[in-house]
Parts: sequence; C-alpha cells; structure tokens
Amino acid sequence: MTIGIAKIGYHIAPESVKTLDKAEQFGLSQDFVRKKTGFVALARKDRAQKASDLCVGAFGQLLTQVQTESDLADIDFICVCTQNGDYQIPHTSAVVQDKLVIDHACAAFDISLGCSGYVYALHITKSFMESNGFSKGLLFTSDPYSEIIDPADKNTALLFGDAGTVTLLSDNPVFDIGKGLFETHGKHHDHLIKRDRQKLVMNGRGIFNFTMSAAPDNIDRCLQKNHLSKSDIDVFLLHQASKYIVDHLCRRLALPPGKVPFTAGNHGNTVSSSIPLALRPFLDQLDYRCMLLCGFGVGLSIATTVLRRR
Amino acid sequence: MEKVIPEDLVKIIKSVVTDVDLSNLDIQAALSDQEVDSLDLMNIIFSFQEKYSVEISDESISRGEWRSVEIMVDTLNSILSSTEAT
Repeated sequence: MTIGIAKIGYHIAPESVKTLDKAEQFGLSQDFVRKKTGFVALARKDRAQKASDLCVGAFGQLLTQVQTESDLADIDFICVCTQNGDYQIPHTSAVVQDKLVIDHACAAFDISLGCSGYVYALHITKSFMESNGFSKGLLFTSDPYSEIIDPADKNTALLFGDAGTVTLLSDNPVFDIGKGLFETHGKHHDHLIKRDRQKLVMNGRGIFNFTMSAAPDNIDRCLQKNHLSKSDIDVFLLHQASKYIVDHLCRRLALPPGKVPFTAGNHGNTVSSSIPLALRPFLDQLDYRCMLLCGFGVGLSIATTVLRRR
Repeated sequence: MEKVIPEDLVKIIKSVVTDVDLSNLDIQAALSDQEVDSLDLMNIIFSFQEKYSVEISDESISRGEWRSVEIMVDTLNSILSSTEAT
C-alpha cells in the first residue's frame, strides 16, 4: 500500500487587505508592491475565527469535490500543520476532529512548522499512514499570521495572508510522493521569530540570503535523490514567499518562468498553505505528470519533494 | 587577489537588476537615486557575497557603505585586503 495525494480542498479568508492602498504608509510605491512583493491583496480571517475554522472551511470545499459525503467517511487520522493553533493546549487537530464530527477512532496530531511545513507533513503523514495500515487521512495546513503580525511593521505587514487547506491522503491517489530532502539552519532561527507576548519579527535580508543560497542546492539534490533532472519536472511549485523571491529563484535555477508560477498575488504568503494552494489546480491537469515542491522559511528550514502522477 | 574595479560590479548589478534601464549608470551616484530599489540592493549585495566570498554586515549597509558603485568598490577592496592580510 502506497499513500499519496488524492484531493486538495482550500479556504481563503474572504476579507482582504488591499496592499496598494497601504504602500504609501510604508514609503513604498504601488509599482514596488505590485511588481516586487507581488501581493495586491492579503486574505484576512474574521478576528473571531481560529486556525481550526480555516481547516473546517477547507474541508467544506473538499466536500464539494466528492460524489457523496461517504467518500470522506472513515477518516483514519487528522494532522494540522500550524504554529498558530487555536490554543497552546490542546492540539488544533483535536479541535478540528470535534468540529467535523469525525469518529473517535481517529488519530490526531499537529506539526509545528512554517513555510516548509507542507512538504515535511506530507512525508510524516505518508509514513504514519503506511506504517499503521491507514487508507484515508486528512492533512490540514492553517497558519493565520494576521494574529501575530504588527500592522505597522514594514517588513511583514504587506506579505502574509490567512488561508487553510486540506489534503486528502489515500491509498488511491492522484500523485505519489517521492523522496524528500530536508535541511535545518538553526543558527539563523531568530531571522523569523515570535517571542512570548510579542509580534512576529522578520530579518528580510537574512531570509533572502538563506533562500537564495540554500534552496537551489536543496532542489538540485532532491532531484538527484529521485533520479530526476530539471527537464523531467513539469512545474516547480515553490513556497510563495513573494514574487521577487519566486522569480529570482527561478533565475538562479535557470528555469523558464512558465515552469515556476507565482500564484499568490491575490491572497498573500499563506505560510504552510502556500504550496497546497499552488498545487491544487494541477491535480486535474493530466499533462502535468511530475512536479517539484519546495518550502522554506521558519527555522530556518527547507524541504523539497517530488510528486509523480499515478 | 586582483583589485575589484567598477566594471566588475556594474556587470553584477546589471545581471541582478533587470527591470530598470541602467545603460547610463552613474557610478558616483547612489543606486537608490537611479531607481534601484531596496530589494534589488539586497540582491546585489548577496551576489557580491557569493562572488567574492565575503560577509557583508547589516551595519555596513546602514553606514551607507554600499550606496554607490564607487563606494562599493572601495568597501569591497577594503574587505578583501583585510581578509588577505589575515
């Protein structure tokens, strides 16, 4: 039994911050915001909503993709990837199980990772399911950064958006998951940090330098590990940190721009949700057979994997 | 190591900054006055670090030691010569 990706549901918070209206406040031109960060709007959840509510929204969208609700019955486990869960205790996955009224014969755990989280979580949950003989699981991503951002901080206020996704993992998948490659650069853990009772602080230059130096090498080595070359990959789905970072990684990797899409312009950098949001439209495009996913950020950490259409 | 000359850095800058016409780049003027924005400047400095295997501190940037090509050349040569000396 091999577990892979069957479907992806999503929920992008319906309210939004119009970044072009805010550019002047931060001494930036609208052109800079449009062309460099690339985010013209940032999705914002209702203040009362929690990470679990974004998960529930994503599950609701997943329900619209199945024939009957019974297709999503008998869920063996739930995982939520978040660093901004509903509570410090308990884990958000337990709250999600409650809200979705999923049977108690269901494992549930959270994974605490940021922008590399989806790739990590795919591998962790795949192994967990395969080792326990599970056939159906839900991997959620939901990290509402609006709760931890200082709206007056130029470094972060115009970047992050709120969204949740749910990936249905099953033994009858669309995509098989290849071998992953993971790195941690803990020496720079304070480049993106939220200390107790403070807001998120980001060292933009530190993150940029890390990404530009570590990501291309990580991607190359992941391809080697999977016995693939760049030309075998139909699309490279990189964490949607900003348009500038995606575009410049594309250049450093010497890839044609069409193979490295930037898709987050209307909702922002949604942390661990950014890759599944970018991946979702490709599930039904049959000519996309081999894809690479690369997440990087908090830690600082980086994770790359490949997907192959079954 | 040979001394860095302005042409070396102009070549790197032009390879990084692709959305601004730098055909008449003034090496004495601040890059920020020639439509090079903060993200591109960060990328230029990253490229220097890679090319010349040097560490460039945030403080050095704050002090304005990377604001024009001419100053960049002086700063880089100073770093390289002090690295060689050690």
